[in-house]
Amino acid sequence: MFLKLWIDGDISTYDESYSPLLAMDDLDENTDTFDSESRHVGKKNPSHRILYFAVILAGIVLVSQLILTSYFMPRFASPDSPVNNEVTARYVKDGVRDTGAINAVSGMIFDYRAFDTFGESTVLFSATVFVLMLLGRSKPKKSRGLSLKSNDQMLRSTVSVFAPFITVFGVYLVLNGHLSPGGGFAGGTVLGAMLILISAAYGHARVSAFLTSYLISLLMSFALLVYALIKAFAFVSAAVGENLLPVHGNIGSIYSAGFILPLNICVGIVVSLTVFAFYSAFAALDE
Amino acid sequence: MINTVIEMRYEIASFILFAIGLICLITDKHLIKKIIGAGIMDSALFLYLAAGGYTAGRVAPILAAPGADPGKYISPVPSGLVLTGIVVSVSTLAALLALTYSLNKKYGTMMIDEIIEKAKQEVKDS
Repeated sequence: MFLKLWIDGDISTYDESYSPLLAMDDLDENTDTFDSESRHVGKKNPSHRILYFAVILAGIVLVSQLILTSYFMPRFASPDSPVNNEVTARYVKDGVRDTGAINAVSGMIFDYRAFDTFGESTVLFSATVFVLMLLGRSKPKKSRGLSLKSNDQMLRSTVSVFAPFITVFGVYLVLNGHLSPGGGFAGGTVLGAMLILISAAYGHARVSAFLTSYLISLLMSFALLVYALIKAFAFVSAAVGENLLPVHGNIGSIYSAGFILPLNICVGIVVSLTVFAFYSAFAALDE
Repeated sequence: MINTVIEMRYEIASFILFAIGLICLITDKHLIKKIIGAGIMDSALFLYLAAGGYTAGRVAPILAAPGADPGKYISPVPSGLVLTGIVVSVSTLAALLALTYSLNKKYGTMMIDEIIEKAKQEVKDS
């Protein structure tokens, strides 16, 4: 409902008693009849007020303490700050030789610290499953739907012109992650935003008709499985001691950097579907 | 002292933002405002990391060839941390919002103290 308010600007059909966002306006005078006595007592309770000011005082003390600490910290943008230590030197100096990726950030998060990235992708997957579980309907309603469909002709025309370009840009970011700024996280976010844009312009039911929550979970688990298998292969080949890894190829070409390209694609799938699934779960509440 | 403040403005801004988010998270009873406070804390952390990763006169680590000079490129570590952290913070915020929606659907309110009262009442009644 509140998504409808934002997109259409149509307040008249708005159900005031239910919206979480309108509940914000009723901070002081809540019309809710439940237990209003204890609520007002709690409000006038002096110990609560003391606690409130104590927390604010603690925040001020925290800020002043941190600002004082910043006097002793390494200067902003100074070359001898502890960020530029031997780890950074190693990543920059030997990164291209070790990982084959021109983009040192991609080389770091998909090769040196790929296990960390796998954990983060798993966090995304579990958050998506959690949101879909909490908000998903057990049985899909029949497609009365399209309540998010806006009749905004301008939005539709703009989306129909720009959506292919945004898609190509997102795919480019994913595929060129080891060569240029970008990668699975940035490109996946662009692709997910494109799906959101299409579903805002043409109605959420049309997009979710083929990109159901079941398909989203299936694709995300498949991408995570491929990621895990690739990294397991890398670990096993390191343990065996033989060089089973693919060669790095020509540095700077698209078929280089070993496993970074498929890992980028996996993470791109996971991130784009995560971004869309969040929108999808909250938009489906509206129908 | 004032030179320090001007020089360290990004870090100090992130400290202030972090405190604002923390106070919002603790003191406010409205669940959505608590989540907004958590989001502000996330952003403050990313600002701090990004500011810490910058070094004057160095460029983004898109390396030209093996054996690049470490004195010419910024550190890729904070960039990678922020890159992955932003997406994770988005997903945690979405999970929090979904939980808040379910709570609001069940108890019809967004105030945490009322929700606690009603939940206690429920336990007492059952």
